[in-house]
Amino acid sequence: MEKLLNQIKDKFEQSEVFFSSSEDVSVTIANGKLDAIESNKESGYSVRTFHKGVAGFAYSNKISDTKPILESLDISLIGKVEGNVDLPDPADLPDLNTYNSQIEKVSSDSINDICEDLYKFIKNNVDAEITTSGWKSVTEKRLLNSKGVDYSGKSSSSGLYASIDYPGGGGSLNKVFKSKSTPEYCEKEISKLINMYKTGLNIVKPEGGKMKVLFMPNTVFSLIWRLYAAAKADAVDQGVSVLKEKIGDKIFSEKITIYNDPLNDEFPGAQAFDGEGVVNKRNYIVENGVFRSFYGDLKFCKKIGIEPTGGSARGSWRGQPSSSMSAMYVEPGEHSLEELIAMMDKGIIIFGVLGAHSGNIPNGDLSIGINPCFYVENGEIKGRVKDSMLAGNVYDIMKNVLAVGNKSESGYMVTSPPILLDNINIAIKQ
Amino acid sequence: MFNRLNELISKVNADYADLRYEKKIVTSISFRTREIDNLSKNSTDGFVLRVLKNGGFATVAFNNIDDADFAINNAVTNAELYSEKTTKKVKFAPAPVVKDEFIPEQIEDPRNISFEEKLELMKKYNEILLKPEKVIATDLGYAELFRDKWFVNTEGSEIHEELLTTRLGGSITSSYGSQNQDLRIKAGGSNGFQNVRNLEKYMEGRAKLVVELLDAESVKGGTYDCIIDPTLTGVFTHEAFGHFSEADITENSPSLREKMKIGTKLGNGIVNITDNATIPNQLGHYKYDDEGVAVRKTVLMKNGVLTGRLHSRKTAHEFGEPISGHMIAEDYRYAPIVRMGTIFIEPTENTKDELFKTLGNGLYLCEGKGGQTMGENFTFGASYGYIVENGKIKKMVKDLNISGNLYNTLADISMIGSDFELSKVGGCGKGQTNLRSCYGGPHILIKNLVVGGK
Repeated sequence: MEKLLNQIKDKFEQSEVFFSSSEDVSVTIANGKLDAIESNKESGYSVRTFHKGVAGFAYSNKISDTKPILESLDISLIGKVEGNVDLPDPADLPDLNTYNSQIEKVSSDSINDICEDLYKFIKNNVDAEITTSGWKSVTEKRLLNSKGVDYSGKSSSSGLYASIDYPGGGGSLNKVFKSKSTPEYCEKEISKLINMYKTGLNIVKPEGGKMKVLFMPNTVFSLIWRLYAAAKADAVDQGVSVLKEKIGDKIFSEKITIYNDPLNDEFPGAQAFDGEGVVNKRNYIVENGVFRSFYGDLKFCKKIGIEPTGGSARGSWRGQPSSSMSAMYVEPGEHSLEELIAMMDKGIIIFGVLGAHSGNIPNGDLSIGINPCFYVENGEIKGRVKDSMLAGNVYDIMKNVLAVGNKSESGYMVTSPPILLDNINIAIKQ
Repeated sequence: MFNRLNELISKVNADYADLRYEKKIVTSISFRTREIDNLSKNSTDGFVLRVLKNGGFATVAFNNIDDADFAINNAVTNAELYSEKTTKKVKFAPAPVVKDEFIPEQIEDPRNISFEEKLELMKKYNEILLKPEKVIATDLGYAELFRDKWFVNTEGSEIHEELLTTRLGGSITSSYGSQNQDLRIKAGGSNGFQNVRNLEKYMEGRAKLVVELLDAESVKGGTYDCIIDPTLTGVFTHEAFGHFSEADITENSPSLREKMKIGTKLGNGIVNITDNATIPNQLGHYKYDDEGVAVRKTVLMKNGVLTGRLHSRKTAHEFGEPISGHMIAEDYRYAPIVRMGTIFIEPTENTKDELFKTLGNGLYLCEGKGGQTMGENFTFGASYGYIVENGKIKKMVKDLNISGNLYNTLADISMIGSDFELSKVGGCGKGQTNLRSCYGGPHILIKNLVVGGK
């Protein structure tokens, strides 16, 4: 890496070299039968250059030979890609606990054993089709730039997944346990999932209309996605953000606080520095319902005139850093799940969403299939509802927050507690 | 190359092994409104090894030749573990030994077009899109993906296949007052750069439409009889039915296998569904899949009755059905999984006018905007649509997402048109992205679709 940086740093005003490697193993048990053992080991690096407002970028997996990557770099300079960026100077990094050497020692055999345990625990309590899987992952990365930054980090994580399927493809209830140590699951949480599954064997067909809706943690991303799109500095620069003039405005209920915090090493995935070498920090996006901040990478923070927010994502050595909130959290409230359900005179609990990626996202609109979902009347879950959809605009419906749960779960895009909303439009096929 | 791969695979102590080496070259040009956002051409490579030993099966992907010994040991050890732990041994259905090279013809090879020319063309399209005053932003990207694949297995197969995909995609955003409206751009194909030339009229149409959509009303959520256009028929066929035809989805679910048993009547008697990636000059075309099996035309539904399934060698043995050649990987980072190739509803003799006359009152939904499947439930979006009254197209509507149930909806297809169109851009995300996932069909009439409005 040093050799490559030395080769390019005199030709450009600023330059950067990024390296990452990863090693993963996953095991899947489907319906009681070992179904797959898959491994992956890869590494590669990329370079970025900035000179007189023009950016260059290239990547390669040929670690020992710099010729291919330098050729690719030359090609990228043809287009005069805009790159008015100030790479960061070296700074002290916070000390995070991201690596556990025990995870390196986790074998396929031991992942299989815990997956089998989890499968048997569920199967002993419910006669259903069950999938369990487990994995471990170890990644290393290093980032050097021409200003003297030389950061490196190593992280490890493991996880377990359980899915209980309704017969004939009727959807599934699932649970993910992410861990900073060896893979493990919580019997109490799995027992709750099993009880919910059993309740859902009863199919009910209530009338659609406006009602209360409880978004479970793994479905909150469908709401947050719209905020994620609008709070991005790129969207502000492009003029497509509906939040562009809204800093300081109340956009959600005061019960909602959302922030990005890559420094939170309580969960796997914490990072001291982002994909461009900016030291990470907690960045409040929404605080008590008030819109506080945009987020962005160096290029777009500069373009819209804000200080670097950190958090730029770099999926792997193949990708350029981009504006991101890779460690997004919704702040928990005060209510247990049972209390939230008790607040519902008539409503739907959503355990899964479909089509969250479609709809007019820039506007904050969502129109999603909801499955599995459960109907609640007077605080009692009556059964599972099929063929239903939810529609609305996130800036309307997130004003109607009745309560926020007190226990967060790490899901796709965001770590969140359950959120109870009122007056939401649900269509149910009769 | 074959010698090098055969030398590596000869070190594998197993009943069967295959090794795929793949070089991938990705060329990208993208515009972000008026700026060039990216221009790059990068080449990477890697290997995927699959091992079958004593009925145990394991895969490993690696991208550094120095890790080959590690990878071989890893795959063999994991296959032995699988064999020891599993309650059911894996077996592969027999497949012919193949020694072949397939290099599909490029009508205009994009690799012979200079960067400067590609850049100028994209710039021209971008300017057209930005012409209307109410269009405030574009994200327009050109991508050229070249997969140079070399496959060997211990049965003696040696296959070299090249797949070159051109893709022009992105979105355009209009704005008026506090309202934004976006619309997707989609063009491309598998047989050359000509697929992204001469799109000026298409771009003008996109720019006009995204402005018109600002004034369109949101549809009221509810249940409607709908005519969907060929792009949506494709998305519907892919999402609502196709995934359940992939044998690895149903393999481990006894209840699903029962519901999807060959010979079961699932659809209205007028419905015929086929997957045929052997058709040349369309996005999904390939000759051999990523386990070295020649892809074949597979009739999945005939007169509403299930007749076939898409398979790997593993699932073909498990189901006792013919191999079909549908094991596809995104690239060298992944072991292949069962994927649709080119799936479509077969057209019939009904004209579009006859479909509208039969519909009477309902909705006409246009242009797929992504979809998703979860078990028997599916959803897909339409970019725009129209209210239909007495068979006549009336005002434009938007915010259209459709949700349904596989088993009910196939039976609710009440009329099928005579036109036919296949998609030019893929992108199915079942675990990995399949950019050449192709789908289509004619206009069709479906009763009782749940449509979520705003």
